[in-house]
Amino acid sequence: MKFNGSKGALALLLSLGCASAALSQEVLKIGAAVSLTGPFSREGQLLRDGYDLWKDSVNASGGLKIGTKTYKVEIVYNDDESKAPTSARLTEKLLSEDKVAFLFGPYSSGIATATAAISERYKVLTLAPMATANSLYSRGYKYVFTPSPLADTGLHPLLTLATGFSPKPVKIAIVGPDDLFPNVTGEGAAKRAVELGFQVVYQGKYPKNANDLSSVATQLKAAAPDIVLSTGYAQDTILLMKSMQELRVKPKMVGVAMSIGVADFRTALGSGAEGLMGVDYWVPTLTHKDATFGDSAGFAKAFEAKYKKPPTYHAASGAAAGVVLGLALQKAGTLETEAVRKAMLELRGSTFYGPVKFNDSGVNTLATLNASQIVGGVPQVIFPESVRNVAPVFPRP
Amino acid sequence: MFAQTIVNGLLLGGVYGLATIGFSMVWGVMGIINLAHGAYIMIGAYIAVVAFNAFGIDPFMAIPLAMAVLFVIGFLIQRFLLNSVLKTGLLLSLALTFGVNLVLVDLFVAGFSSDLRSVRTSYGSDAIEIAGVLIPSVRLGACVLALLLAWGFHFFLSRSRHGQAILATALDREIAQTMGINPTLTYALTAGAGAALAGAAGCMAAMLFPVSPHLGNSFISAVFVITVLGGIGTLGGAIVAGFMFGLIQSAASAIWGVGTQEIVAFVFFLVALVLRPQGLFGRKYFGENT
Amino acid sequence: MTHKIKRYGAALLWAVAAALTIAACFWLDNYWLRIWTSVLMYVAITQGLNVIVGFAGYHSFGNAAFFGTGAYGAAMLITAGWPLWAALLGTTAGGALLALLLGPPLLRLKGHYFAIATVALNAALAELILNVGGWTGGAQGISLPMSDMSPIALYRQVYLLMFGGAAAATLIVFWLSRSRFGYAVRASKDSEDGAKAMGINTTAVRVAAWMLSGAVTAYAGGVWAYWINFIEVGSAFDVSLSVKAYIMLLMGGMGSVVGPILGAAFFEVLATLVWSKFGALHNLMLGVLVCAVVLFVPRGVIIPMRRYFARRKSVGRAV
Repeated sequence: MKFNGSKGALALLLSLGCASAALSQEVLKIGAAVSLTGPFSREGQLLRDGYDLWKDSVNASGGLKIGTKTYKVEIVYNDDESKAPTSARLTEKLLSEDKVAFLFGPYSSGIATATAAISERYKVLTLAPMATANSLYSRGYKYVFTPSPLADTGLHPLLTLATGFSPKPVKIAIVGPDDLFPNVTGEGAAKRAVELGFQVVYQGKYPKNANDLSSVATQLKAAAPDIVLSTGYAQDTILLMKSMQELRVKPKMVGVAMSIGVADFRTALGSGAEGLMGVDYWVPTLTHKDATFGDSAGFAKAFEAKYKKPPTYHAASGAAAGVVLGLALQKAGTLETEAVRKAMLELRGSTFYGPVKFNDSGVNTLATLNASQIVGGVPQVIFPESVRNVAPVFPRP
Repeated sequence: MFAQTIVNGLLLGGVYGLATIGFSMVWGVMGIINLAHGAYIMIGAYIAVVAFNAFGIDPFMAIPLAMAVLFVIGFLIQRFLLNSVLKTGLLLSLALTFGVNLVLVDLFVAGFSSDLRSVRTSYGSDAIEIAGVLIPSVRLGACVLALLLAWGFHFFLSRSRHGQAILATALDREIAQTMGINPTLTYALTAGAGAALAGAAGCMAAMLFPVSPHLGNSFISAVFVITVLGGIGTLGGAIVAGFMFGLIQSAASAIWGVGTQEIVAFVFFLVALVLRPQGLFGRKYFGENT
Repeated sequence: MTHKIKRYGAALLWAVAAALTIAACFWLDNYWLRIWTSVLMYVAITQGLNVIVGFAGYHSFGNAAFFGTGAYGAAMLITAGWPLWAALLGTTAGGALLALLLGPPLLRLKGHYFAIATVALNAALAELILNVGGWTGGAQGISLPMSDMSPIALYRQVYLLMFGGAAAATLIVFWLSRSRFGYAVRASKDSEDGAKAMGINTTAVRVAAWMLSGAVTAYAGGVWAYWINFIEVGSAFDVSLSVKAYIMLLMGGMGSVVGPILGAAFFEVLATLVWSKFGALHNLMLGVLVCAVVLFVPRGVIIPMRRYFARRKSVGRAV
């Protein structure tokens, strides 16, 4: 910078102007109460990583251009300790004190139901990618949206796969903890299983915080199913599988309604995790495209560069929520909630996560599911056929 | 399945019984309801986890270490915190130990995060099969060890000088003092021993369940029920009631479904409390000590 | 003359305080409104505890059982279509009914046993609701119908409802400290045989005291359910509610009328400040606080303060 006379003064003025313009760059404040501690901390942290990755990508390319202004994205995080009342309190704080314009939802449908009650009161839009229980979207809430598929179809891909196996399995057992998402998923799976011609020989619920599942394993053994499907979370599914190992319960197929990409399964079960199948909202082999990340491979690369570990669908859903919000904001051209909501309902687009088309209840009617299996100690995509890495292994080794 | 259910219940009951002895004795000897007892179990579990994952020490081998560490912790907490509330109100100890529990649990959340840890030994899933009933090796080992430790503690209580001092103080504090027994030391010893046993139970728990800082909270309600069922301050009662508790839960889940195991246990407990508050082996005046 | 001024002075002070509290809801923002509503809720719960612990001498560590019953009662009634006032009335009666049913068997237990029994009761009720499922919501919890009111209007309504509960509870304690029934309750605590000799039916008196305690706590639970709109057993039957109330009672002084109010206000505001500053480690700070209260002010703050002022006054006169 040269400081000679009027040129210098002009330069100084210009740079001051630019600086103040940069300082006065608009900020888009988004609030997120996620579980950073407590039973959902693993999933909550992954979700936060996804939100953050989106924020960084957007800010790195200069911010979100909404209408005539460019916005820098800022996310205010709070830890809800995996508890619904804490999340509600935090959401209240985010809305009334921090005055955030939008909300990113928590992990867990139960918690999301509590926070939705607050956000609906304030009429603030929430993107809840990891809250997929059907009940949340049938309460007439107008401001909660999710790009992910709903819980009652949670186990359908595994059931569909099972119809193709030979010798054809017949007897199915469905177990899970007594909680909102697992119950909805379990009911949906039982119905679908019967439709597909399977025989549900055991359907059980255990207490959410149960320490010991040997009684469940004992009853499973007595029922002798070909397939065991779990609707639980990582912790209790691992516990169940350990109990099944101890009591030598060996069904031909074991599936869970969540991602088996989460490392905990392999570290806790070792070789016992081989052959375990899981359902994913997103896998790295999907080919959908979007403007922020390119495609799934691009997202995975960016994630790994930042966090030094491969992403699971929790993180992907978080980033996708951001992408969807960004698309809606740009379409609406304003931050005003009603306009953004209208834009969301009219949005027809695609993210690396998949295509989106929201109905009036905030549900993405185009969302689909994938399935993976631990083959050779590594999670591999096995469904749908168009994006799979390997053919599914049946029966379990 | 019936036989398997019984075996499941008994094996787990043994570990629960061990976890309860310390709690029961502390209550009986000092009239203190130590809500931080669950935290002691949790600390024992973490010792096993760290020993195994960082140093490759088998959890069974980590038990002596856990017992030593927990003895010191229990001793110190009793000596410097809980002894102060002995002479004051009845329920202050409940509030104080609740606070101590919060502190301990949160310390571990800060240090280890709420992530679940587990101990994966090579023999972890082995089981012995007898007449179609599977007895998982780890659970059998834990149950046997629990009984051994309980018997060892009983031996200590009835034969050694310190042990007898503890029993005497439980019966009558004032007379014990006139006999030259130092109550402060006795209490601290009892608390230390109770914590040590909890630590051993924690090591075993680490082999059976996933470990998180909240492990203790999930044990404490069972520990309560077993203490009262067996009789406050009675070692034998804790063990027998432990087995009973395991059996009740196991049977309830087999007959009425897994979701009912908690409520059946509680209802049973409430009924027992009203009908026979001193439990199986307890004497009526325990628990009213101030 | 001074006696009259003192009596009316005290009443005037209370009236002013009450008026200020009511007026406050019109200029507080949402966040502080929430905090003070919480304080009022704890005042109600702690006064309820005061009745059974401070006056009757039964240390109910699981009084949260009534809170949870109140919350679920109100939630189910509101969801069934009852108007708010009827639902609250119904659930308050429900709390009293629970105490009436369980009082006779449980109040026979003494000391520790009673405390443990109430904790077990709390847990058993939570489990019962979980297992029954269906209209109790089970593990899913209950979502109350959304109200049309704007957030601030709703929060003011809740604040005033809670204030009503806190005021009623305080009045009950005040009445207990002056009435014959109150004397009967305290007499039963001090000497079972002595009270019986005086012709007091100790069991009936205790059950009645627990009914008052239960009713007030259930009311607080009912308003809470209406306030947060989504309830589940974990938070409705949370035993730390009981413990916090117990600590507040300790701090304020058992058996005093104003003590629980001060204890609740101090503790809850402190806890909120700690929570917002310390976030992650707030449980630890709470634990330390609890320990500090028990170790250093187990008799509470009110009673020593009163004694201190009484001493100063008498010293002054002697001189």
